[in-house]
Amino acid sequence: MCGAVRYRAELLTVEATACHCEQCRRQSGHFWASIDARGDQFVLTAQDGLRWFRFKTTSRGFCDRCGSFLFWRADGWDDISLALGSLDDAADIVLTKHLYVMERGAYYQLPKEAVQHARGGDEPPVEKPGASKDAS
Amino acid sequence: MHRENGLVKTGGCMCGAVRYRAELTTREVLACHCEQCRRQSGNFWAAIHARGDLLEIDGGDAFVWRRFKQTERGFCRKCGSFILWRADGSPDVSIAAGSLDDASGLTLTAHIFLSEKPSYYKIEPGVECFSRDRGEGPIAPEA
Repeated sequence: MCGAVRYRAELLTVEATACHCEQCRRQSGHFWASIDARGDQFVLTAQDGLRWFRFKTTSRGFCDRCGSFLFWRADGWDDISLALGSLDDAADIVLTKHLYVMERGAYYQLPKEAVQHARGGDEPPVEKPGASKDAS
Repeated sequence: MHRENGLVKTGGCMCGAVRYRAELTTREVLACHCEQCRRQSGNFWAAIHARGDLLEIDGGDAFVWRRFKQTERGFCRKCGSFILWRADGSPDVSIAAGSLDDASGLTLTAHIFLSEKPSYYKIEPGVECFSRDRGEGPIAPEA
């Protein structure tokens, strides 16, 4: 937000992912959305404020000056996930799936058309997109 | 504004270095799509509202407020969690809904600053939409 961290990245896809896991919710303040970019083409053009926080086998990058949650990276992965909110231009991006909806916050619903996965995207989507978590 | 009693909630950042105890002024959650909230949260931000005079923050050196124009944004310097927002002169403070230990009983009731929303996501039906803040009356949800 403050400009102390800037980057240039080559996206692997225009399909973005939202994550509702507790870590992403606590860090972002709601739920997080990201897009994957090539790690070998990722360039930091400003990084004075950049700090990484390790959590289990992942690292989360944020700006120490303004608290913006910017990057996520898994150990051993060549690529990097970029926060959609940090993009200067997200015009071509489409959010295609919601992950870890089993950990979704109790206070919100998702759009009816949202493709939802209980955990990771390697599992099939849940059958009733948009259904309330609290419905029985 | 109508104030309800007994709405005491606790929460904290992802790493646990910053914890808080707050008394909410309402059960409503507000989502903000302004560029600042989007850049800081990484998507869009959702907040609850609490009494500033009763807010207890336990974070030591990990917690910091940063000024931006006439507002301040509080976050954890250890893990980067965006937790608090307050406007100069307001008795209340906004708290990230994602930071709550227990969000039961709370409902997202409004989306604000949709004039700054990008196109990659949709808004769920049944929630009031506003082009800017709620002072300006609701707008029709996007098609």
